[in-house]
Formats: sequence, C-alpha cells, structure tokens
Amino acid sequence: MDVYFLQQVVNALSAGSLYALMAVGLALIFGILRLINFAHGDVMMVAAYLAAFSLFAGLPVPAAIVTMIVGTVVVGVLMERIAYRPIRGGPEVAMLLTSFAVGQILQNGTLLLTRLGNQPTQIAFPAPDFLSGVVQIGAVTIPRVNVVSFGSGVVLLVLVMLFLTRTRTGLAMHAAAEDLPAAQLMGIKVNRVVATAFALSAALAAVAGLLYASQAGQINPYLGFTPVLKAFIAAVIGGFGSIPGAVVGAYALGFLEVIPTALSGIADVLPPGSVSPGVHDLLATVFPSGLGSYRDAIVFVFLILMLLFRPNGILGGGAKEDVP
Amino acid sequence: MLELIDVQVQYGNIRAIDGISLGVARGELVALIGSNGAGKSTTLKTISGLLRPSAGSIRYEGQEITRAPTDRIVGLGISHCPEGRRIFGRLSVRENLVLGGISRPANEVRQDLDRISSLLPLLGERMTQLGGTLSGGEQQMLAIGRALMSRPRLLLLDEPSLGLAPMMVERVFEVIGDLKRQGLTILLVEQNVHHALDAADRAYVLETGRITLEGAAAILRHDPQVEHSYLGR
Amino acid sequence: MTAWRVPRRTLVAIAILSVVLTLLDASGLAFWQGLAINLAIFIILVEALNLASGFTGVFSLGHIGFMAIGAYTGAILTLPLRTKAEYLPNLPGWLSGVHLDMAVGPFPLGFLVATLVAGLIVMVVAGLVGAVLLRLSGHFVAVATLGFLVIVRVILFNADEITRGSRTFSNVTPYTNLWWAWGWAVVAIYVAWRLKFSGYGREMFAQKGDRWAARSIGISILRPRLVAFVVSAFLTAVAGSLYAHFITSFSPTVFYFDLTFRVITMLVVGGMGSVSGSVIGVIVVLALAEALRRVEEATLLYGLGGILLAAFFLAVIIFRPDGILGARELSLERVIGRIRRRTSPGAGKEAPGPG
Repeated sequence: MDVYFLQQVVNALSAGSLYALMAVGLALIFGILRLINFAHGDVMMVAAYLAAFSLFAGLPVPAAIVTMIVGTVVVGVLMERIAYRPIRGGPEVAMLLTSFAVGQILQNGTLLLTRLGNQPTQIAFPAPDFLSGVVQIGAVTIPRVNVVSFGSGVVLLVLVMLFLTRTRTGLAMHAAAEDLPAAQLMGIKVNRVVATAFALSAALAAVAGLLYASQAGQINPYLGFTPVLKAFIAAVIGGFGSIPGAVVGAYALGFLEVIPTALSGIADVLPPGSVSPGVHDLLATVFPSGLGSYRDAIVFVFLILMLLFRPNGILGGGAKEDVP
Repeated sequence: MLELIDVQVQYGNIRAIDGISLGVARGELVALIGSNGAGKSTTLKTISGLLRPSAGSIRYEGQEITRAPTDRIVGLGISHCPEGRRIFGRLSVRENLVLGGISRPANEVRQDLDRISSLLPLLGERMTQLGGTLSGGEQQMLAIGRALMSRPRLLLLDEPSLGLAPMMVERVFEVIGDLKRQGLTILLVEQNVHHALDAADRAYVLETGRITLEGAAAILRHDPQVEHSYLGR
Repeated sequence: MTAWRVPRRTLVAIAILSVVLTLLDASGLAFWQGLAINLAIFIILVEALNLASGFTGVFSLGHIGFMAIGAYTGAILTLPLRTKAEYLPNLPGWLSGVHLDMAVGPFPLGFLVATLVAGLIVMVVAGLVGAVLLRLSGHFVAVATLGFLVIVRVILFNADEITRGSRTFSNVTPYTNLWWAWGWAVVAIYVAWRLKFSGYGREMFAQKGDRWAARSIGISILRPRLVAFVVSAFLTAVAGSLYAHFITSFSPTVFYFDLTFRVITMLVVGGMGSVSGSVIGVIVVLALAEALRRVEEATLLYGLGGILLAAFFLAVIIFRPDGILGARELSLERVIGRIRRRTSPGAGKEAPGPG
C-alpha cells in the first residue's frame, strides 16, 4: 500500500513537472499578448520529432538535444512572426482560432514529412539511456524518466524564474505583460520581447516534448493536443498569466489527475474489515473500478468549475477578465 | 526642437485631431490646455508613436518622426509620461525606474537611480515598495522619475495633476519647475489651467481637435475666453 | 429586410432546389449525390454554429460534441431489434427494447422520430451546459466548451455497453438521402434567418457588440445566448443523426477536433453572422478540400491538403477577418448592381463598397 502511494506521488510530481514546463510557456505568451497559443502542444510534438530524427540519424545524445531545442525555438519564433504578429491587437477569439490553424499546419507538416521519409504515422521513440529504464529507491521501483522529469523540471523552472526577475529582458517581459503601451513608452522593443517570449516558451516545450516522448514510448503528429489542454488547465488553476501560478497549478493538476486513478476501485483494495460494509459500498459506488479512464473528463469538469468560480485562479491575480 | 505640422489623427471614423500645428523650442515649457476629449492626450500619444497620424508631419530636431516606432522615438530623446501614470503596480519603485532606463547602458542607469532619488526624495525612501501600494502623488512622482531615466531632452507630460490633492499638485509643479530650470524642454498637457499657465512660457488651447488660441502664457492668462472657459471667472 | 419579402424568394429558391435534387436523384451519380448530402449536412452544422457563435460573438468550440450525441442517439434508436440484440448485447433494458425503425408506407417515420428525439435530448443537455458555460466570455468560454468536447469524447469511449467504445459503430441503416439532408438544411437556414431578423436576433447582435452597453440598457445577456445555444445544439444533433445514417459506420474519433476546425473554417470564411455567408463558406471550403484531396492522392503528399487548408484559413483571418460577407446577407440587387457598375463606361470609379 505504501509502495503504491509513493508511486502515485512520483507520477504526480513527474506529470506536474511536464505540465509546468508547458504551462509556463503558455502563461508567458498569454501574459504579454493575451493569446492562448493552442499550437503550443504541437510545438512540443515537433520537438519530439526533431529529437527522434536526430537520434535516428546517429547524432550523439547531447547534439540531438541541442538540435531539438534550437529547431523548436526557430519554429516558435517563425510561428509568431508569420501568423501572430499580423493579427496582434485583434479580437481574442481570432487569435485563438489562428493558433488552431497554426497547430494544424504543424501537425500536417509533420505528417507530410514523415510520409516523405517513408515512416509510419506512429513511431517508436528512441529514448536515450538517461531517460530509460528504472531506478531503485529503497523498496520502490521508479521509471528513470519520471525522476529526470521532476529534477530537470525543477531546475529549469528555477532558471526561468531567475531570468524573469533578475535580468533586463525578464523585467521587460514583466512590464510588457502588465501594461504593454506603458512598456512601449520605456523604449522597450515590443517585437523583440514577444519574440523572446516565444523562443523561451518553445525551449521549455522542447524539453517537455523530449520527456513526454520518452515516457510515452511512441510519438505521432497528434500527440500535442491533450497536453496543451492540460497545460491550459494548469495555467488557469494558477491564475492565468501568472508564472508562479502556472507552476503551482501544474503540480496541483498532476496530483489532481492521480486521484481518480488512485481512488478507482479503492473499495476493492482496502484490507477486508477495515471499514464497515456501508462505507465499503459507498466507496464502491462513488469510485468504481473504471473511474481511472474517466480521468480526463473529470479534469475538464474541474477546469469548468475553476473558470466559473475562480477565474483568477487559486492564487488570484493574473489577467483581469471581467465577466458581466 | 519639436514641430507638428497639420497633423490629423483618426479613431475609426472620428477625427480626433483635425489639423493642428504647434512647436516647442529648446528649453521652453509649452502647455497644451483644453477640456476633456479635446485631443490633448491623443496629441502626445501621436508624438511618442503610440498612435499614427493619418496626415501631417512631426519633426524633432529636424528629423521626421511622423511614423517612427516608439522605441526609436525614445532613443532620440523624447520621453512620454502617460496620462493616469501607468506605473507597473506589481513591480517595485526601483524596478519601475530601472525599466525607465532600460534603453540605456547599465552604468548610466546606476548613476541615474541615484540622481533621481535625490531629485525626488520621496522615491529614494521607497525603493523596494511595490508600485501598486503607493499613493496617487507618489505614483505620479514615480511616473515622472521613470520618464526621466531615459535621459530625455524633451519630456511629454500628460495631466500630472490629475486626481491629486492640492498639496501634491504643488509639489508636482515644484518638480516641474526644477526640471525646467535644469534646462529640460517640456510639453505639458494639463486640465489644471491655473498651474499650467503659471509654469509655462507659451500655451496652446485645444478644442475638439483644433487649436483655437495660442500665445505667451502670461498673455493667455488674461485672455477673456480662457478666463471664462477655464479659469472660471 | 421586411418579413413579407422572404416568402416569395424562398419559394422560388426551394422550387429550383427541388428540381436540382430530383435530377441528381435520378441521375444515379453516386459521387455527386454523396457530395450534395455532405454539403447539406455541413450547411446545417455551420448555420447552427453561426447561431451559437456568429450571432452572439461567443465562441463554442464544443459543438461537435452535440453532433456526436445526436449521431449515437439516432443510430442506437433506429437499429432494428434483432441487430440491436446482437450488436449491442449489453444495452440497459429499457434501451434495448426501443427500435425506431418503423415505416409508414415508404416513409421512414422511425428515422424522423429518432432524429427528433436525438435533437430534443441534446437540447436538454445544451440547456444545462449553456446555463453553466455561457456566463463566461471571450476565450474562456471557447476553452470551456472545448472541455465539453473532450468530456463527451471520453464518455463515448468509456460507455462501451451503449456506444461500443472505441470500436467502430456500424450496421446503421442508411436512411439519409438527398431529400432528408436538404430538407433539414432548408430548415436550418430558415431557422437561422428568422432568428437573425427577429426580436431575439436583435438582442443577440446587440449583445455581441458591446456587452456592457447592452447590459446597461437592461438587455439580459444570458437569455439570448442560451436560446441561440440550445436551438443551435438541436440542429447540430440533427446533423449528427443525418451523418450517422449517411456514413453508416463511425467511432468517437470522427467527432473531434479536425471536424470542429473544418466547420469553424467554413464559418469564418463565409462570415460570422451571415446566414447566406455560411452557405457560401461551406461551398468554398468543401470545394477546396475536395480539390486538395485529389492533389494529395495524385502526388501522394498526404498532409499537404491539411496544411494548405489551414494556411487558407490563416490568410482569411489575417486579410479578411470578416469573411466573404461579414455579417451582411447576400443580396441579389447588390451583386447585379456591382456587375453593372464594373461593366459600365464609368467603371473604375467604384462606389465605396464593403471591405
């Protein structure tokens, strides 16, 4: 029972780290542009493919990682330049729809390129050694990728926070996110700040892509859709637009997701006689053994509840959206 | 130093500014007065590049800056302290000031932080305080300090006395007076006509997008129209 | 646009449509018939989305979820008893006894009833969902409705006693033909038209323009949105049932994001808020998609079609965000007037047009 519990905690922390890397990227862009970049998940997908093909081509792991990050950043910056800059300042919904279109282009582009390379739609991901296998911590066996996800997630997030609070560019991003015209009056080059935000968020997505692909074992051009939705939920929980909030929201989501899986069929897992039959039956009804597969639906119901009752997130702050 | 020639600005179908021409000479303090909605703030925003004129031209020290991007305009030495102060509430006083000087090299910024703190001791005492927690008057000082961090040669000041208690208004205008004495050229938009005309060398009166009166501040102060409309006599 | 004008033109249009459909029906050209049915179903979907989003400016990304519910409900209801027993052995008791496959002479009454029932069920769901979600605005409601799409999909995947989960649902009787599809399409266009030019419609458009201003004059925000949402969900469900009985086999993956994006593209291209624009949008996008599909098959460059279609969408959003017609309607006089102006001697000095 303890082992099971610990494994769930590890899963939650690992998933939370992944969501945090993605959510921070979303929050960065939303903070400055008020744009929900739904193509973010596809940026992550592109990174996974870049990593896969670099590794297939025989590049040593560090070179493959560098290629992946650089390539993804290029994609992110180009994306902004071509699709988002022309509609900057436009209606929110138009920007949202544009991000869907960009996502479609990335997905179909990847599909096309894999076809041209005579690869199937779904490819097995050649996870490097440091992301494969398991580690033993005491009595618990944990997949190595989970440990690395958590560790690298924490390190990267700390670095990002330092960047945002200690450097000039980071400060400029804060300013741009809080009040863009006032930031312009400081002589801040908005285009450059926006491009940097996209570059940074793409780099984070790249790392997330590598970790996700190593966990999942397989990649396909459509893998980005659900992660970006989850990242969005994480950002909302934390108060959309707030970077620390996005991190908190991401880990909260990681734990939240684990709960249905952990609780599903809990009535059967409990040692016999530990609870009264009435409670046992109640638990069996509320948490049936099939509950785990409804996990995504439950998470989205939670999102909707958050949007309704706490649109500014658990921490409050972030974008001020007035709802009449 | 600054010249606006026949500038027009449109908001959709509405012409907010309908062909105004004005000039500011080096070292002058020129006031732009008029009632709400006359287009005063729009004029400043057009000069600093937040808005684009639909016609006319704007020249600064001989250069065309009509359609220049804001960051270039700031680089040329024009600083705009916006209406409503617009300080970054979630950042500290110090960070706000640093942002003001973000286009300058780091060593200059350090010097300027000291300089501004002594010019505006109110700020010097509150460096680590969050902008959002300052009072209205303190925020206005911060906004002005922040605008000065870019070492401007021309300062555009938009309604600095707005929403401030009379004593704070006095102090703000003291600072403005100091700045003028130090040689800074200032274009001041104000609703507080009394103070504006006291501080200014020359003034323009703006009504629904057009300039209706101009001249030396001393003379305008006694102009019957101005007295009637703005000074309440 | 006064009310009396519509009937005469409509009758003419319907007459022309009937002639075309009769010819098509008799021609036996299966490909073109299929295309025409597809066209009709998409028209219903886009007009429905127009009602919910285009008129009110509130974006619903989850509408295909309603289509899915409509499709599965309609299909399950019309399955003949024996097929149902074999194919869906674990249906709950009351459902396994229902079979709406009766006919009145040649007229498949069961199909109509099943479709209506599907629509009504979805209306109830939409009422609940709408009451909850429509309080949000802007991109928040868009994402919340996207959440609804995901929730529906998860439920469909998991309730496999009813839906067969991730397995293909087939054996659906192919009731849908040109007449059903276009009959409902005409209904959808008519409903959208009447609603747009009614008191409700004006409320909806007002609410789109300036939320705060509308509120201050006392126009309730929730009611027009909810009405549009529920009616539009009904039509979407009908489209779902029609679709189910057209392709006769499907799975939850059909009713997900790609379809959503395609419908949105049609809506935006035609012009959100324009009833006739939606029809044009469907035609343009379907034609483009079909052309691209052939290019893909000829060159074996699968995925190219998707890229170009999305690029087309981007171009529209960037350069002509109001779509072809914006919120206006197609008017024959204006078209003729423009043609006349272009070909007249004074051509070149065109009067300021929409842009």
